[in-house]
Amino acid sequence: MPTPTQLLIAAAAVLANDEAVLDGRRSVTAAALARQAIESAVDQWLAANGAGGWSNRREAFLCLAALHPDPALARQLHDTWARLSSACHATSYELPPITSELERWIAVARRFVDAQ
Amino acid sequence: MTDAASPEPHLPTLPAILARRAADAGFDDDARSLLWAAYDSDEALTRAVAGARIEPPAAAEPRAARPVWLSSIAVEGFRGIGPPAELLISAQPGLTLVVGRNGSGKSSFAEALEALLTGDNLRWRDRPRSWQDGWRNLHHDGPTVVAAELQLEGDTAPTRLERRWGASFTESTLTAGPAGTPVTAAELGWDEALTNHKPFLSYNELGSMLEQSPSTIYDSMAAVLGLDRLTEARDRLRLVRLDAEKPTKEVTRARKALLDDLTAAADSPTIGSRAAEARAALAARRPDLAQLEALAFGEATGPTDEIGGLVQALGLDPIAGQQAAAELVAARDRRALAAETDAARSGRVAALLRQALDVHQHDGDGRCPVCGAGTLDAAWRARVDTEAAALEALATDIREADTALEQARQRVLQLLVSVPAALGLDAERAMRDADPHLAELVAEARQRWQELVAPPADGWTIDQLLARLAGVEEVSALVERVRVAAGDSVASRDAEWRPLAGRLSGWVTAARAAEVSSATAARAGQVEDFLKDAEAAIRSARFQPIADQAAALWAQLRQQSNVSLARVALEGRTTSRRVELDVTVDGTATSALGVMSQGEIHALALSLFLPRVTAAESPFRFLIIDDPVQAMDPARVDGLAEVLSTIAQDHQVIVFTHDDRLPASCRRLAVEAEIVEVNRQSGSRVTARLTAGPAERAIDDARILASTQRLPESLKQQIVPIHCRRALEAQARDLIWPRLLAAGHTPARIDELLDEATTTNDLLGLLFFGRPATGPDQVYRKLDELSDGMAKRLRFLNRTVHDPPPDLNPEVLTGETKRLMRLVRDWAG
Repeated sequence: MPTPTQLLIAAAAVLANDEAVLDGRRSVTAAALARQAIESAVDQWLAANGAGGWSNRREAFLCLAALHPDPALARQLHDTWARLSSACHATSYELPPITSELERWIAVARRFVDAQ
Repeated sequence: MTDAASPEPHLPTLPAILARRAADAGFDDDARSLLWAAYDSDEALTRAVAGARIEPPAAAEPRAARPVWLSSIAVEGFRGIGPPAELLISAQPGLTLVVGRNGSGKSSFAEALEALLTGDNLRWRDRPRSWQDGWRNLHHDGPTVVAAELQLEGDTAPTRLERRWGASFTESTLTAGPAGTPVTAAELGWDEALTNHKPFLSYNELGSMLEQSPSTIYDSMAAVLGLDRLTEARDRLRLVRLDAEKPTKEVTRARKALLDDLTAAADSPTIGSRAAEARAALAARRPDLAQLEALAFGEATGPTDEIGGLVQALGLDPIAGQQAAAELVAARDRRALAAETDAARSGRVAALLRQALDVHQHDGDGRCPVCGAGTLDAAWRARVDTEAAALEALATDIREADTALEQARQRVLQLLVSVPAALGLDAERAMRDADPHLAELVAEARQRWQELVAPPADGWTIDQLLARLAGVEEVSALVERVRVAAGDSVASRDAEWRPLAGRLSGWVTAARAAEVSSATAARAGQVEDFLKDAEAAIRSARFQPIADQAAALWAQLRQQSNVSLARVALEGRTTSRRVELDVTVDGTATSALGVMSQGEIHALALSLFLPRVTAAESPFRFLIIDDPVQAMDPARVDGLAEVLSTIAQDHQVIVFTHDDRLPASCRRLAVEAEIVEVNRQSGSRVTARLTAGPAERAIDDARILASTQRLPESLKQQIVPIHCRRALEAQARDLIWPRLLAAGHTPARIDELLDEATTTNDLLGLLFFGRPATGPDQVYRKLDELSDGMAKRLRFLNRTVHDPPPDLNPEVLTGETKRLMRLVRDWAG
């Protein structure tokens, strides 16, 4: 299982990857990797802080916001995760995010991961 | 587009229609010349006004631009696009949806094509400064180039148009063909069509189209009718008319001011009567310009006349008087001298002596027959001859002195002429108001003059005459004073009159010029009215099909809207012109825009836009609509998809859209559409690629990523499950719509339900049960009911998305997902 940092590096690499095979699939792929990174980073943080074992993502993020020393970052992370999640589902009329959005979201995740 | 709704393809040319109507209107040569000049250009109109004859345009058929289709747009370094990117479109009727997030660069393609064709168009200049600064892509060091391949009907190969930009957006060159020959839109025959049938419409324009002033909306609707040249001609004539009316207005204004001043001057004792006369002439309905001119500069009449009369010599000459007096005195003295001798006796004696001399002549020497004492001889004869001559001279002298005296007397009497009329009582009375001092002088002079020449009671004796002559000098001096005073009076009067005279004559000059220009104004007005009528007649004939089409489009687009469009009409003239949109809300007439939602307004704008673009006269067989879907509710998006697919039967309809609603609507309604997805990577690298529906798209993504050799296995294990799940969800979404619609849900409600369904299981539950499932197990049970083991596959998929097992085979997962998708599809039928 790759670490959150590895996943974020992979996500950024996908965005920068010029392979034609990724054309049109790049953003969903990067979004999936970044979301995966956030999920495992949050799980790790909660477990390390004695609050692990959540089955509901929303509850896990509420818990994170309550416990984390930087609640603003925790809330931002929750929002970023929701956006990445939406990009990974075919649940709305929204089109996949554009590169600059993803770069911003990956940066938010980086801040959280690096703070651990 | 049905044929019945399109304007007839072969309209008679405007000059042909105008020529026929001008003949019907009975235009003379001048009016005809003015008409064709106004139709032609400002320059021609200037010449026509100056008197030149302008002929109707040569009856050449307007060059019909060939129908043109679009096959590709290639963009480099423009707006959101950095390195070269190309959008391919098949050059045939059909609907193409270019889908990309805001910022993906999709609108850059639309703008690029418009910029390519229109270049430095006014539309761009109106853009905000930020746009003007951002026309060139910031990530791109290379040139800014937009090219398009256009297929002209009848050509075997497409034409490549290319525009390259220089340092600023206003510096660009349009070239055609492989050789890069410079070309203009006008040369391509698209100049007018790009305005009248502009095949581009952006979201902003949709929103603002109906927010513009009524006259602007009118103009953009009316432009499609091709009546611009009539409107231009009318504007030209209007300017000429206004210009030509100016002198008349100015003359009228000046006349009023002049009349006021003349009225004021009419009270003046000095120039009053002259002013009154000028005023009367000027106040006439049609002033006699020649008379006014004479009044301004000609001889004065009235009291000025009398005074002017005094300036002449009055016939009392003091020098002649002195001379006459001297002559009279001389004649009198000479007579007095002669009177001292006895002239009569001298005459008689002389006669006797002549008789005696005669006797001596006949009889010779002898005794005096009278006295008988004396002797008549030669000595006597010599003496008497002399004596007789002296006596005869004396007698003549006296006669002559009498004659001379009489002549001198007569001359004096001639000098003492009676008082001239100029000094008469009537003249004095006439000038009494104007110059009382002068009148007094006149009275005095008259009196003195009368005294001078009045016949004395005892008749004209020499002494009397001399006495009167002595007074001539004094009276003459008095008259000279009158003359000088009269001269002063006239001079001051002229000084007072001169400014009015100048204005009067200036006005006459201006009035003559105004007569000429008002004839021009009248003719221009006549032609202007003629054009107005012609325009109205042609407009209503040509606009009707477009209005019908707009109403039909609205009927299709409005879907569940309770607003219906009863009538579209171009109404009003000049500043009150507007597009009348008669709408009814649930059958009640109301004003259009007030009651409509933003989405409805967009739909209405689109209804008005589409007939213009698809008009038969337009060469463009493609039309580009940028983001019409924003602010539209789901039902209206369905209406839009239907409308677009109708137009796409004979046009290339290219729609840029920022989300999946319009593609989704097309899928639901089975509207055939090519979907091109635009993506933008870092460095403004933009790609545009043809895609299938989202379900096929996503499973395709999974398949390709699972089988590629170019990505590491661990990465594939992370990302392929995501694409697999998206494929299943998309499949469910596509199927939910028709099922829930059939179940009686409104599109808005379906959208709500879809919004609430955030997971794969939510979507499948909605599909299976028509409402959210009670829990994941209900969905799993249903799957197992359909086919044993399917629930297990979904569980596995859901798990791997979050936590892919290390031994996951992405290709196997893709195959399993395909089976799930087929199951769901088969269930839905």
